[in-house]
Amino acid sequence: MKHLPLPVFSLFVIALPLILSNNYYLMALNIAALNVVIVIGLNLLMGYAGQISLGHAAFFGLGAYLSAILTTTCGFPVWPTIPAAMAITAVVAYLIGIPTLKLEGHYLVMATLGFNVIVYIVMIQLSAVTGGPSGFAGIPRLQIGGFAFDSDLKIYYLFWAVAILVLILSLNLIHSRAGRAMAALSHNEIAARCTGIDTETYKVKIFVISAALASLAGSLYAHYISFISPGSFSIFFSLQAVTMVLVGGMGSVWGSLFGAILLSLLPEVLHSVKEYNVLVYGFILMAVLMFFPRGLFPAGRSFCIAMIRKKT
Amino acid sequence: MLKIRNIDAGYGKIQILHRTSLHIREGEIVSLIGANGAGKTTLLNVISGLHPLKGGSVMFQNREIQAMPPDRIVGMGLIQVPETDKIFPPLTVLENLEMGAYLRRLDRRALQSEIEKIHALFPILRDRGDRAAGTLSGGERQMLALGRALMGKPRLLMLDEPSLGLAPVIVAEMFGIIQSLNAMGTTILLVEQNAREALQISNRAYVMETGRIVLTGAGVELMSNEEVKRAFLGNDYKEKWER
Repeated sequence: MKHLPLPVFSLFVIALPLILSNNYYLMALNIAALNVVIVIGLNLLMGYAGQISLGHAAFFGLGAYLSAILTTTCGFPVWPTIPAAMAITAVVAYLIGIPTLKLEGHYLVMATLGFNVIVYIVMIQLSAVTGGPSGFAGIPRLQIGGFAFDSDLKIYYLFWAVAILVLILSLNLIHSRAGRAMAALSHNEIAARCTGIDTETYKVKIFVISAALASLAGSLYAHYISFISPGSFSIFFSLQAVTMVLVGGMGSVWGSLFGAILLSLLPEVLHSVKEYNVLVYGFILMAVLMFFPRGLFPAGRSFCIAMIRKKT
Repeated sequence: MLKIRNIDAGYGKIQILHRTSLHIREGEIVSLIGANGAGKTTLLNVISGLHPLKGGSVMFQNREIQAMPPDRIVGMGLIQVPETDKIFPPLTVLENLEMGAYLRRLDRRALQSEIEKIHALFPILRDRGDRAAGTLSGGERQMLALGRALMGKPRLLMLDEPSLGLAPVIVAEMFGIIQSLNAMGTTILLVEQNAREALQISNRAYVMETGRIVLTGAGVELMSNEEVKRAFLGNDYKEKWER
């Protein structure tokens, strides 16, 4: 029972393209997979380190631009560049995290917010390297040997494999010794320190991992779309990622998966209401946060458990 | 075992501890009594590395620990049970206990036998094993916090107001448990407002007032001290006054 959700979900992911007729939906699902990677990473930080980052769009952007510049401008091979971009992003996150996470309180929010704004400005102003406001084009597509990921369907399986891998790793992480320490830290920092958990180091580590995951998603995004522009990496996307965490449920890895998919696909579903779609989107968010403050996923699960108990 | 010399500490510009010194010998129960805001909790937090100090030194087992992070201090066997926020509410009682042995990296079997020991001491924690710690009563939480601290194998256990908010019957039980822990070889530093009970079970005691140690002596001795009676024990003084 405990290990059931993962294979069921995986089978569902594998089977889904068979019933989808439209390539457009596949593209939306591919972007959703990348959002899943970012949001799971961000949720580790929010749900387990008790810290909020408003700079995940910047880490996402760092991954995208580093991949773009290193492969297209410098001519590096694609696959080694992705972990390299993750490593550089991780170092940047480490440098931001060290001073801010040592302080008590929510200084990380301010630091990451500022960082996101700076990165955004650099993307626009440093046009010789980044292409400026008009964006960066001609980024090579992904391929392994002779096999090119040249269709949305192939990308779909690649991205969802990555997303499910991140999901599995995160589930393993939170059930490990480190994960229990993180859970303890998020629920009660003083008691955690009294039991000998090195809370500062854990917070920095989670933040770095979380930034590296965003960078991974960024690299994949760049090689998928093959054109990137600063607009995708502004502070609004950071806010959207935080919203996805909240809607899915803080501290729940499955919740993140759910929240990321729901909010990524919601705008597509709302196309039918045309100009009102932003309004409806806003209302749905408000309703979720008012009626399910713990997030949709934990609320849904409690509801199901209560229904099962009632029946037996 | 523990030797604190001339500690200065505070929050921002406000100084709380003024050149505070005290020492604890192996095997003792030492209590630290004083009114609200005297600086007792701050002193404990300084000792366990949770709060920075501005001057002075803390020696534990002949090593200077004032610059160490809390996790290393816990690793040396100096464990504090904080006053409030002592448990992890959403985790189960069992998980809370397991967290206590976090630094010891025990295997399943060793962990199980340690948990058995705690269960023998606090049978109620066995019954409540799979309940979320947040659903426990005040007394049960206190026992859980104490049990969790014991899972870390403390040499010196620092208890911050273990009787706070407990029913009188449970307070007596609590002090009984503290005494038996001590008899089993754990040195104890007890911070209390419940001065009478604390002094009764202590070898020695320190009285703290506005960040300074103002009085020290054997536990029973202090109970008959006029100053202590006036400030903390109350009743006897009232009788004398009304006579």
